[in-house]
This record gives sequence, C-alpha cells and structure tokens, in this order.
Amino acid sequence: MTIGNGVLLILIIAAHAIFFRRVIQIFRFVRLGQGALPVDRRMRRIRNVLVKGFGQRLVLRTPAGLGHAAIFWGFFVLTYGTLEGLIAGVIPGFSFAWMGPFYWFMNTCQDIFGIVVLIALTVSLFRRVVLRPKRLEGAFWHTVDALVILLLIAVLIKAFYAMRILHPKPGFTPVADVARAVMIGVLPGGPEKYLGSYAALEWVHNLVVLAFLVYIPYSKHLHIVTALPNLFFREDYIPGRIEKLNLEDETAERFGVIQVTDYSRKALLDVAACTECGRCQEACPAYETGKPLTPKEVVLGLKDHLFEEGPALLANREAEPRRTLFGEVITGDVLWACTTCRACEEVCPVEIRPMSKLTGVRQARVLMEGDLPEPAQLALRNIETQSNPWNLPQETRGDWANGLGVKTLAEDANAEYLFFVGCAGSYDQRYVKVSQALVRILQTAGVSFGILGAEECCTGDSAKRIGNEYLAQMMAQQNVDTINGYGVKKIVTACPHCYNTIKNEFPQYGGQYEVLHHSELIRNLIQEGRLRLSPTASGRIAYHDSCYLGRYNNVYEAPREVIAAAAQPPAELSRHHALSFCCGAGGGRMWMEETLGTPVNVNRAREAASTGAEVVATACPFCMTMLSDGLKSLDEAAIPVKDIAEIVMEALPPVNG
Amino acid sequence: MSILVLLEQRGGLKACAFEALTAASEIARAVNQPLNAVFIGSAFDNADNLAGFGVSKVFAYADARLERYSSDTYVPIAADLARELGATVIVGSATALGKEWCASVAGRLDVELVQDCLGARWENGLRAQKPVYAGKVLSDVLVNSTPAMVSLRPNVVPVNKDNSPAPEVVRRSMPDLPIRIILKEAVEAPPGAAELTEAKIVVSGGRGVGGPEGWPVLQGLCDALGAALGASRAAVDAGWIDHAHQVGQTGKVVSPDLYIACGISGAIQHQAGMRTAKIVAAVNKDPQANIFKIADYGIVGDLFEIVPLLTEEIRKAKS
Repeated sequence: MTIGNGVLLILIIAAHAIFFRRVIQIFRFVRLGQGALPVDRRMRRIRNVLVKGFGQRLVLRTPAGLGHAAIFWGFFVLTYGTLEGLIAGVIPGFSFAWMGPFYWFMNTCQDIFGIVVLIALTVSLFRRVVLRPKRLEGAFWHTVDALVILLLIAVLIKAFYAMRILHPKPGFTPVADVARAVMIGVLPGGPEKYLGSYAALEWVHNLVVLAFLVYIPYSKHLHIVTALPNLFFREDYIPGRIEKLNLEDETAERFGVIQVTDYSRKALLDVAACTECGRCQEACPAYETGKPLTPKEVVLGLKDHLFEEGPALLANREAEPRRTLFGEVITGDVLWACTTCRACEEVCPVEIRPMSKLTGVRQARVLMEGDLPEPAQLALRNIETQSNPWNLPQETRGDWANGLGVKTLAEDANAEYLFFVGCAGSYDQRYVKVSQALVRILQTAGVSFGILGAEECCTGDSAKRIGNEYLAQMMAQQNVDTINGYGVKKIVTACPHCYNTIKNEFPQYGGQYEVLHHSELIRNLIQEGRLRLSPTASGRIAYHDSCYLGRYNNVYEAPREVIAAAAQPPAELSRHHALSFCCGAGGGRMWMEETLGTPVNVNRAREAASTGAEVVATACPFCMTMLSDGLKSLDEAAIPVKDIAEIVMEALPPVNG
Repeated sequence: MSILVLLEQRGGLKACAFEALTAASEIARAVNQPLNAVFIGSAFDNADNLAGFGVSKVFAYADARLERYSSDTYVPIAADLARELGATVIVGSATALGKEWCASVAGRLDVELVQDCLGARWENGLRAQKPVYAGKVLSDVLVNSTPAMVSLRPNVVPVNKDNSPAPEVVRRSMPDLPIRIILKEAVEAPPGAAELTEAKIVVSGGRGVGGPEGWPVLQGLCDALGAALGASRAAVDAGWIDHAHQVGQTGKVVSPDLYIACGISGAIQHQAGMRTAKIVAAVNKDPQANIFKIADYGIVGDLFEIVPLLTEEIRKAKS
C-alpha cells in the first residue's frame, strides 16, 4: 500500500462521513413532521419504486424525461466501474474480473451507456444554457448547481473513456475501441500524449466521484437520495379527499398548518424529494396567468425553510422559527391563487403533492386566524346561513323543478336515484336549464329518481377547499343525515364538485353511495339502449375537461362518449385529459376576485375558441360560467357554452313522436 | 326625563340622523316626554332642517376640534348630556361611526343598547326589531329598564315630518376634555365606493355598455336621478371602470330603493349583490336575459337608445 492508496482511503472515509452525516440530518428534519411515514402494503410500495423509480414511468411522460432516464440508468451501470476504480485506488491491482461473464457484460454496458449518458448530458446542457425552458428557471444558484452537476458527470464520463482507451478491459467496447483507433491513426504520438497518464486519470476520476458524493446532499441532486424513498412511502391518498380534521378533540390547540412542523412527515419528505424539474410550474394555471404562485417555488421554499430551521428545531422542538410559514415562506397572494386543479400533483414525476401543502395552510388561516379574502368570507357566510353561496332563500331551493313532474324524496322515497342538484343547478338560472335538461333525459329514459328539494344543502366543497373545515363538516353531515334518512343507494349529480365531495368525502361522515356524474349515467343509458338519440347536424363541438371530474376522479371518456352519441366526437382543446387546463374557479376561486395577472378563464376560453369550435361543451357549472364569461370578454359570445345534458336533450326524439 | 337623539354629521347632517329623529319622535310621543337632540361638529348654522320632528331643544357643541368623530370627545359629551337631561331613551344610527359611538356611550352610562335595529317603538319599555343569524330571524327585543339605547340601521326607517316648528338651539362650548387621539388626516375612499352602498338609487352598467366610452350615457341618468353608478363584474374585468363600482358576489352588496340594470345579463353572481333592492328595473337587448326574471320593470331595447330618453323624461318631470 502506497501513500497514495492511504490518502485515497482517508478521502473515501471522509467523503462518506460527510455524505451520511448530511443525509441522516435531512431524514431527522423529515421526522420533525407529524405522524409516521406509511409502511403498510410493502409489496405495492416496492412495485411503486420499481415502476415509477427504476422504470422512470412518470419521468418518461415528457420528451426531456428520456434524457433523465438515460442518465439515471447509466448512473447505475457506471457505478459498477466506479466502485471497482475506488477499490483499485486503495488496493492496487483490484478488479471485478473474477465475476467472469458478468464482468464482460458490465464492461460492455458501461462502454455503451457512457456514450448515451454523454449525449444526454450534452442535450441537457444545451437545454439549460441555450433553450432555457421556463420551468427550469429559478434562483441563480439553482442554475449554477445544475451546471456543476452536469459538468461533474461529464468529467467523470470523459475520464472513464480516457482510461478505457489507455487500458482496455474485456468486453464488447465499440466506443473506446473506435476512439483508440482514431487516436492512434490520426494523432501522432498516440493517446498517452493527449490523455495523460493512466494513474493521473484514476486520481481525477476517483476525486470527482468523491466530490460528487459530498456535493449531492447539499444540492438539487439530493433527490438521488430522497426520490426513491418518497415513492416507497407514497401516501395511499384519494385525490378528491382532503382528510377530515378532528374538530371534536378538545385538547387540540392548532388546526391546519401553522408552522412547518405541522406538516406530516410524508409532506416533509415530499419537499426534500423535489428535483426542481418545474413540471408542476408548467402545468399550473395560476403561474401560467401571471399569479405569484408556482408550485415549484412553494415546494422549494418549504424545503429551504425546513433545512434552515431544521437544526434549531432538532435542538428544541418548541423553538420559534425565524421566518413565519405564512407571510414569509408562503405569502397570501400565493396561498389564495391556487385553484386546486391538481395539475401539479398529476405531473410530478416523484409524486410530490404541492397543492396539499397549500390547503393545509389555508385551514390554519381560516380556522385559527379567520384570515381569508373578503369576498370568500361572504360566500361562506351565505353557505352558513342559507346553505348556498348566493344567500338565496333555502326554502326556494327546489323551485327550479316546479311543473316538471319531479318528486322529492319526502313525497316518494322509493326512487332508484337521488338527483343531487347542487347550488348552481338549483339557483343559477343558467344552470337550472341544465338541471331541467337532465330531468327531461331521465324521464325519457324512464329512470326512477327524486330530489331533496329544500332539504338539500351545499356539499361544502368550496368551504372545504377555502379551508373552513368547520363549515364543510357541518354541510356534509347535514346532507349525509338527510340522504341516509331516505335510505338512498345511488346518487347522480350534474356538478363535479358535488360529485367529488359526495363520492370521496361523504364516506367519512357515514355516507356510502354509488355516485354517478350525469355524464356517466347518460353514457350508461345510451349503452343500455334506454336512451335513443338522433344526432343533430350541429357544428364542431370542443369539450373542456373539468378538473374535479377528470384529474380528481378519472372521468374523461364518459362525457366525450355522450357528446359523440348525441352529436359527433368532440374536438380536443390543445390541453386535455389529465393535462387539461383549469377554468379558474376551483378551490373557492369562484368566490374571489382575480386581481393579479391575467384571468385564467380568458386564457382557457381563447384556447377553446382557437379550436374553431362552434360550441364549447362543459360538464360543470363553474366551468360553464367561467368559459362563457371568458368567451364574452374575447368578443366570442357567438360561441355558446353548453352542458353535455343540453347537447343530449337536443338529440332526444320529439315528445310525441 | 326626556328622549335624546345622537345626530350624525359629516359636514351636514346625514340622512340617518333624520331617520333616528323620526323613530325617536314616535317614542317621545308614546312616553310623553320632550325630545332633544345633540349635535357635535365644527359649526352649527341653524336648526331649520330639524323642524317637523317635534324636537324641543337641540344642544349644539360647535368647535373646530369637533369636526370629526373621536371617542375622546363625542362619547363624553353625549354621555354627560344624557345624564344631565335624564334621558330615558337614546336613539342613534347603526352606521360604522354610529355603532362605535352608541356602544361607547352605552358603556359609559352602563345602559342597555340594542344595536343595528330595523325599527324601535315604546310598548311597556323600549321595543326594537333586531335581525339575527345574518337576517334569517327577526327578533323583537324588549328592554325593560331605562335608560335604554337603540341604534337604527340606515335606509330602513322612512323619514316622516309633521308641521312642528324648529327646535330651540342651545349652544354649548366644547368642554375641557383630555384628548389623546389627534386626527391628522382623513383619506377619503375613491368616489363611488362609499356612495354606492348608501345610495337610494343605483344605475348599473354591464357588458352592454360596450366600453369605457359608454359610461357618460349612464352617468347622465345618475345625475338626473341623484343615483350612484354601479357596474357588473364583466364591465370591471374588462377594465372599463374601477372595481370600486362593482356590484355583485365579489363586489358591493347594495339594497337601494331602485336599481336600474342597463346592459346587464343578470348572472347569479351579479344578482347576489343587488337582489335585495326594493325595485329592480332592467334595460337589455336580449329578451331572454336572466335579469328580466327578477326585474319589476323591464325594457327590451338598446340602452343607448332607452337611457337618454329616460334621462330626458326624468329631467322634464323634475323641473
């Protein structure tokens, strides 16, 4: 053993010590959160890691993901050689040659992956430095950080090839072979003259590897350590549910997220796992329209905050953080800009949930401080007094159905379906037409149904998403009690917000029903032959996905199939299905002013108009209001916005024929 | 023993002061006690506009330092006067200012106050109609002790005058009071904002106004009627007019005697801000517009044709 071997051994030990010290510290920061990391159903968790981690399934949804996957897989292959090199640096002459054919195979893989990774790195560098996609923008040091990493890896690969040129190993190694042949043939003096000595290259390679190891946990490349655990500890959540808070607990002194340690451990692992790829930012309607909110910065802001406050909090759990979570880490303008469209959660390649980081803070603002935008307060007060956001009289809730031959469950509780009408369907004259169209459809198909009339209340969706847990629970419980009182089994609704709450949140209040969105029920009726339609020769129809129907509940095809049966297959907007763009009204935004940036609904309306559609089809009252307002303000009022039920009604056979 | 009215002024007396006088005069008659009023302000010209309410004396505290409300001055002056006169019932207004003034006076005198009432009368004690549960329930409150205080919600009690003469004016100088708060500057809210919620008549425009150049037509009608100018969210979002004018779910909630909606389709978001108007009139080109469903009077037509005709007729009728 030479002095050089000893020095390298000490460096290896030191680098690992620094690496593990930091990684352990970060996992201790994560443990500052509430509850435990979920570990049930291990096989599913392992599969999640294999498919989404090693399989890179979510990363590969964008073209740039291919580059990431190449570097990711290459990293594992090249680590084999890196390990061999490090050991050989300490024990001269060490090699994995004893592995025989596997050694040969791995050398082959390394030679090929080396060039693949090098190409991927070049493309990545080109994107970072020249193309600069907006989603990768960030603080200056974030870009420097990314460049440092890319350059370190590039140096590693180049040193690797230089070594293989000088010192071939068994295996099929076309890249190194060709490079060597070229150097010998073209360059006088042979490869040594240009590449330096093998020993020097070994040192370069080993030192860069150790530098990388030390750098990882302090850089954005921390995700190498945290992303796979984040996939393993995946929350088994229902996208459409915000977990019920226990408001009955008399010892509870805080509700929602007041400071960073109020988040769950999984939420804190989330922020530590962020890779800064910015897919969430690219998908965010608030960011797209110039609001100060970007989900990426929310997560990174929390990450920086956690890492800054972490050491003090580990020393003393009661320590007062230097910066307040609300106001300094997450400002009011950021907090209230979120439309809860879930696009950020849909696109994250490592299943981080940026949106839920905000809803927790909203709960704290509303429940602990009573601090929320004034117009939202008005809507919530109205829901509280008349159980609808417009403060219209509760007793007139069923008036829309007068003269339609619709019975309330109080009159006839034997109906097969409860038609849960919702506030808009009951009071908004525009959406009342949709309720009436659905009644006509159900009556034509001979479906037995009833309504609750004045006994129906708001489901509390807006209250829940604004953060007024108390009001939301009150509304949900009241509805569940009424509905259970009639022994209802099946519910149909024309409002995706009611649908989501009834389907995903009411079970927490003892309300278990089979819940159908009207698009699903109409689709079933058509398939069963109970509804015969004569498609009308209408113009081109474009369908806009509702977030609460699509991303929240995976209902994408039913409304499209209904439109296709009633008229023609709908045209797609450029952003559709899981990547659809919000109308701007979710998360209680319907009841707030939009004073920052440009209006979300106009952005979406412009996109709808650009399809050349003559009709824009929606399946949600909020989407309908937002898109028709948006089209009007673009002077595109000639393009009507219709609900799918209205399109179906136009294709119904005439009443007496 | 007497009844006392706290007159609210900002420069001149506010409309709510006359509403308070109307209610108080009926109480005074019922208990057969003299009706007095207290004025606190920078200057008091004469009591002519207080004629017709049966007020016997108005106590006027005029001083430059009393121009604007301050709890350091208005509260002790009113409370001391009430004690001096042996007031049995004190009537004020439930404006933002009045609610603070009345509550502070009640606290200082240690008497019952029923705040923000729709009406008050005397029937074996002070009876007041107070909305509770955000207006869902109207409670009838009886205060069975005296002195008792009530503050009345503005724009509710109709002003009623008889031919009784103007009261005797008792001019008082400002008492020597420790003043801890000095108001240096008052910044007025942008015009339109304050008047909108208090106006008896509101003329509103929507997308039908067509652009910022359309407002003078509506402003003409506002001037003729002495109305405030409102707007729908569509017009505000389009940038045609300042947000201070917005009526609706996310703007101001108004309940004037008359609401004239011009070129407003009447989406539910707008209705939420004006549904409680006593009379709704609408002008719209589209006979199917939702606004006609809640309007008492509707004109189907172009607002640029109808509104000038309306303005002309109102001017003629007024002159």
